[in-house]
Amino acid sequence: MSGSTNENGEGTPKEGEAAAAPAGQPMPSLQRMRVVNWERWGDLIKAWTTGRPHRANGKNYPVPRTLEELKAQCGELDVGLSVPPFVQNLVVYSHEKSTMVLRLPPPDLVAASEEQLRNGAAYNLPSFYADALGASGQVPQFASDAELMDFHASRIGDYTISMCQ
Amino acid sequence: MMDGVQGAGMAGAGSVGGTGTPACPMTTTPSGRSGWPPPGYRHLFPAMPPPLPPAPPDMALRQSLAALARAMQASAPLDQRGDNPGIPAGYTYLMQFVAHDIVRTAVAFWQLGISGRETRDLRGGRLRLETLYGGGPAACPYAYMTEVRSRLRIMPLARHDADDSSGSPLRDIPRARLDPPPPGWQAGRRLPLDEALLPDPRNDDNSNVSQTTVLFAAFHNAVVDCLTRADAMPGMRFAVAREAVTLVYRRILREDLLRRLLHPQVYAHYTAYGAEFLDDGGAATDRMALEFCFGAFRCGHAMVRESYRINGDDERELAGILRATSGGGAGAMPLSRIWTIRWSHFFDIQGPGLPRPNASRRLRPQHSPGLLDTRFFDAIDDTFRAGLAYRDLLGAGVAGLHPVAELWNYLRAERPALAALSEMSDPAVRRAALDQWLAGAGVGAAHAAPLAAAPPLPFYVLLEAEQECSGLTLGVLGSVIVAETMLGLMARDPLPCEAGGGDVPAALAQLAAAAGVAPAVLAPLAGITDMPGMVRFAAGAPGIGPGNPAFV
Repeated sequence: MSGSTNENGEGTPKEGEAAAAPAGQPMPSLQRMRVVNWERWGDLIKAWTTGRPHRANGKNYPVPRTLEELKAQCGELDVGLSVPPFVQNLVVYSHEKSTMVLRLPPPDLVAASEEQLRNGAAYNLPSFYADALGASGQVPQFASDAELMDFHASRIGDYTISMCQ
Repeated sequence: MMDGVQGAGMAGAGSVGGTGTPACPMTTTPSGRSGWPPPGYRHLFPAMPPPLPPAPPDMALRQSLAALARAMQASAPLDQRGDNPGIPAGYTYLMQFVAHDIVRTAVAFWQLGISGRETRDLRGGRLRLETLYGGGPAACPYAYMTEVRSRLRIMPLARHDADDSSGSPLRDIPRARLDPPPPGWQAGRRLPLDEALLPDPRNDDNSNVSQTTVLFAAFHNAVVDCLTRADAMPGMRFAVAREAVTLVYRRILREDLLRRLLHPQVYAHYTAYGAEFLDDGGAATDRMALEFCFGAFRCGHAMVRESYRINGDDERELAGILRATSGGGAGAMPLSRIWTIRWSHFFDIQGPGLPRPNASRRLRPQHSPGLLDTRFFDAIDDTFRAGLAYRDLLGAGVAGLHPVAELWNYLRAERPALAALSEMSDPAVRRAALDQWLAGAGVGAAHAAPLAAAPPLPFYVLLEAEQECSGLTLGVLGSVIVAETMLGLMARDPLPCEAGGGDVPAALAQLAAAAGVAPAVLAPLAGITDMPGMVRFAAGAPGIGPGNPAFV
């Protein structure tokens, strides 16, 4: 990794920082980060990494150093970012293509997500998938629990290694 | 989404200074439009001096409005503290339906600020369910069943959602593909149903309002069924059912929707026997008050939730509800079961095993993030501000409404007892509340000063509701505007069966006589005073249920 900062001015997170909540702690709420306008969010990430102006308004945006800076940029751009209250810090990684970055999600959130899906919760994919695939208004349906878990695992696998595609 | 009442109201751009004396930089300029208001519109309270015709909002004003819109859309916890226990979520979409039933603007007011084009209101009768019936079976045959023209057309849900044994329940609006197949379409594949066959296609702006339309259509068909079983004169069935349904609809507006929405003491004032209205319409009774359409009634946008339980425990996001339409997702139409409402999730219907309804959001200056969706509410000018809040504020600026201060001055003079209910009738208290909110929301001083001096009416109405009523109901000024408009409109323009001044049972008996049936045939309608009652009656419509998902 060629650079990482967080809003406390510290470097990369300590090993194991993303581990599960301590034993006995309640499982975190499954409230997730939400984005309304994915294209504006994606363009903002592009603007940070390339230094190009954002497509929506032609302005340049520096890489945010704090969660507040991130929210301010998203607010200005009407990204529609909702951050759950349990998210307190921001860590930004930038890396060269020669480095494989495995972004490991918090294990308690993975477990909570699996439990909720098994209990019949809808798999709410971002709406741009349906828009692009011509099935607007639909949400995915699964014939079995195994199929649902396959899809869940595939999604995690996809976004963990997708490199800007 | 809820651009049903196009445009919005704000005491900014042209309207500040109302009585002809510009009071701040956000006032009318000499380049203001002539011939304003547009055909079909007027200002509230004819006795008030009219505001100067508004000028198109300049860049400085639009930037201030954009800053305010951003503050109204800033991310805030969407938790249960923002829920309104007094107004279930179904009323949000009833209000959208009602807005469509009041005005139908040719060109949205916010577009006028950009293009300088003209607009007009196209709605003929108001609060007469024209939004449902259009001109009736002769004028809008596509909305009515071919074999039984007295019935509104309700179509099956998508087949893949149907129970194999029972078939698809009739729970969707009529839709069609009228153009030739799109390029690349393969024979045998389902054509995209990209047209909503409704007299008012705005009722397919989102799946919740299209489902509300189905609910009213089912109610109408259930009434037609009663008349048919009683062997009513065939030629009278449609007309009598329509008037009976409209009678019940108006009663629900008076006794259910407005009771929930308005400040309790304002509601009591306007529903007391012999209540008088300040807004008599003057010489333009048939025109609609801009301050209602583009100011106070915009409050419905703040009631929209980010997600809903539609017919089960799953939370479905607003993005999907906005897309489940012929305009947003034609390839997925007819409507799927996923978006088909079980009404006990939207109205407070009591009964064993019935769920508690989704709450609407409290009335306060905050829009759900989903109303930023650029697919529906993309940026419209060089402020690059997306979202419905900016459109509301800009449209209000274009409309040139009575300024908030002028409205309060008038109310204090004419209805001092009502004005005394609100601390914000005092200019100093009002200004302090505005300053505090704008500072707390992070609106910079350069924008906050003009906004506090001349608050846009749609914003002020929400702030007042939050400050005075914890967002549970509208505040005093917002309630007066809505009551004067809606209750005044129904009082000035009674239905034929109401013209004699009798009560609802008497009006229904009159309608039954017109259809040649006994009064008992329509008498059950006299017991319907709220939306839950209407849902239960509509559940008896042919083909509706019980189905999957359940109707009630």
